[in-house]
Amino acid sequence: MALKTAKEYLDSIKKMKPRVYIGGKWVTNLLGNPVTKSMVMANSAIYGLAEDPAHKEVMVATSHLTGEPVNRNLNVARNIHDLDMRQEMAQLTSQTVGTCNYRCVGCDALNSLASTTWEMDQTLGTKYNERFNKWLAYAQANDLAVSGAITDAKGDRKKRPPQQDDIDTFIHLVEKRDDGIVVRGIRVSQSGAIGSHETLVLPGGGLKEGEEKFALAFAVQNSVPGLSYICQYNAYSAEREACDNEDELGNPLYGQRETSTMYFDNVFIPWERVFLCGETKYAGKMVTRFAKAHRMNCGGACKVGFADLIIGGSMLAAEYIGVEKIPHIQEKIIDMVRYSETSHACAIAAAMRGREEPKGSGVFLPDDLFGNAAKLNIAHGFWEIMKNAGDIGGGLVVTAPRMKDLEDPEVGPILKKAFGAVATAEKRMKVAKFLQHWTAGLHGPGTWHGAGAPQTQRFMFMVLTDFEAKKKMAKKLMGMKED
Amino acid sequence: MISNEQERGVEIMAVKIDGKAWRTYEGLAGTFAGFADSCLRMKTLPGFYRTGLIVEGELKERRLHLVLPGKRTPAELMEIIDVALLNIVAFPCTEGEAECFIEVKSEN
Repeated sequence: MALKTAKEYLDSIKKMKPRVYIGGKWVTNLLGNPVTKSMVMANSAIYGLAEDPAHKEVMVATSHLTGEPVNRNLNVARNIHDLDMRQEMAQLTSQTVGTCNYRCVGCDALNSLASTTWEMDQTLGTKYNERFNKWLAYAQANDLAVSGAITDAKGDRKKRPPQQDDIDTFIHLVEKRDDGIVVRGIRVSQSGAIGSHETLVLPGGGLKEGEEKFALAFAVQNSVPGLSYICQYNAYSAEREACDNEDELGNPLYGQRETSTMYFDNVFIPWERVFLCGETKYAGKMVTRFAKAHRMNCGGACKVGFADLIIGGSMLAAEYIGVEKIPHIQEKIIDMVRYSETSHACAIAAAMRGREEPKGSGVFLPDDLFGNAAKLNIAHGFWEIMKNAGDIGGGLVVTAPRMKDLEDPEVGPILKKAFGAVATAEKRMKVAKFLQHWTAGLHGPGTWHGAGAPQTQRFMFMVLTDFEAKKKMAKKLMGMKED
Repeated sequence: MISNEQERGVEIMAVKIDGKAWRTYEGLAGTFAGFADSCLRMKTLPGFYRTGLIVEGELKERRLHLVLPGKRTPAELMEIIDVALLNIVAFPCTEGEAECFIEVKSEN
C-alpha cells in the first residue's frame, strides 16, 4: 500500500495511543476529545486530498527510492516541478482545512535530512543517508503521517545548551548503546505529533565543538514509552470542549492550530532511526536547510491559503450587508489580495529558482532569499489582512451571540430581526464566527512565529543580499570612482 | 547473504501466544530492539504506559519472552500485543522470514 485513504488513516490512528495530556486530563482516545479530534480530522482531510483526481498532480509524487506513487508529504523534491508542487500543496492544504497541514513540518524535515545525510556520508563516510532512505521507504510504503519537532525549549537564551541549569531544555544524548541511543529533553510548539505515526526530530540550531550530545536527528514512533505530549490549552480549546454543536465554531471540523510540548523522558531510539549523532558541524546545516524549505511552504504558501479563506469570508460579509461595491471596501479587499499574492509569487519564485543542494545529492531545495521574502512578507501582510477582515466584517465579528440562540423561542426572533440584512441573520453570524476564528484567534502570532520569527528572515536578508554589488552599481551610475 | 528484508531495511517478528504461533509483523529494522527496550527497561508496552504490565521479561538474542499479569485469554493477549506493535509502527504481514521472535504468556 503506497497511498492511504482518509478512512485508512483514521482507522490506523484509532489504534494509536500516544500519551497525551490536555486541559487537566489525559486523553485515551484522540477521537473522543473534541480538541484532539479536530487535529486528527484535519490530518484525515489531508490524506483525502490525495484521493481526489483533481489534486493528484499536487498531492501525489513518485518516490525516487521505489518509483511508486507516494503522498507528496513524504516526497523528496528532485526537481523544480517537485518544489513548485510542494508550495502549491501548502496553499491547497491550508485552503482545505483552514489550519495546519500537520504533515508539513515532517515533509520539510525529511527534505533537509535527505540533503544533509547525503553530504555527511560523502564527507565523513557515515551511513546516515542509507539509514534515512530505508526509513523513508518504510514511511512511504505505509504512507505514515510524519510530523516534525524542531524547537527546543531553550531555557536561558543567554546560555549555550551545555550551560543551562537544566539541560532538559534541549534534546540531548543520555546514553549510547550497541542497539541505539537514549535521549531526553523537551521540544515545544510542535504541531500535530499527537495524531501522527512518527515524528522527525532535527537539531534546534547550530552547534559548536563540545556540544556533541545535542547534535541529534532521529525518527521516533509517537507512542513509544517515555514520550509524552502536553497540548496547548486556550479559550478556543475550552470553547470547543464546552460547545454542544461544533457548527457554532469558526472552523467547525478542523479548529485552530493544535500544538503540544513533547517531553522525551529517556526514550530509546534504535540506530536504524538515528540520522545525526554528535556531528556538530552538520547540525546548523540540517536546521538551515529545513528552514529554507519551511519558509517557502509554511512561511509563505500556507498562509496564502489562509488568506484566500479570509478574503472569501470578508467578501461574503460585505455582500451580506450590501456594501460590496463601496469603493473603500473594494480597496481593502484588493489590498488583502495584494499582500497574499505577493507572498504566493515569492513562494513560486523560491521554487522556480530552487537548485540541487548539495551538488550530486539529487535533492532540490528552494531559493533561500525568495523563501525568506515569502515568509517575511506574509508575516507582516497577515496582520494587515486580518485588520481589513475585522474592518469589513464589522463589530459583529466580536459581538455575535451563539448560533444556537437563533433557535431560542424568545430571543431567536429578536436576533433574526437584529442581524438579518441582505442575507439572513444565520448567514451573517456564521461568517462573523468564521472571521472571528481568524482575526481574534491564534493565527496572528502563529503566522508571525511559524517557520521562524521575522527577525530570523531579516537576518537572512542581511546574509543573503549582495549589498556590495548594489553599492557598486549605484556608484557606477553616479559616475563615482571606486575608493 | 543479505535477505530481502535486510535490503529493504525491515525486520519480521513472529509472535507466539501461549506457545502457539499466531501472527507475523513487519517493522523498520530496529523495531524489535525498541519493543524489547519498552518491555525490559521501561517495563511496559508501547501504547500502554502503565508500569507493571510486564511481570516477567527475558531477551535471549532475538527471542523475547514476556509474561503479562493476571489471567488473560489468548484473545486478550493477542489484542494487547497487536495494539503494542501497531503503536511501535509495525504492521501484520504474510511474507518474509522472521528473524525476531516474541513469545507472550499470561501469568495465570
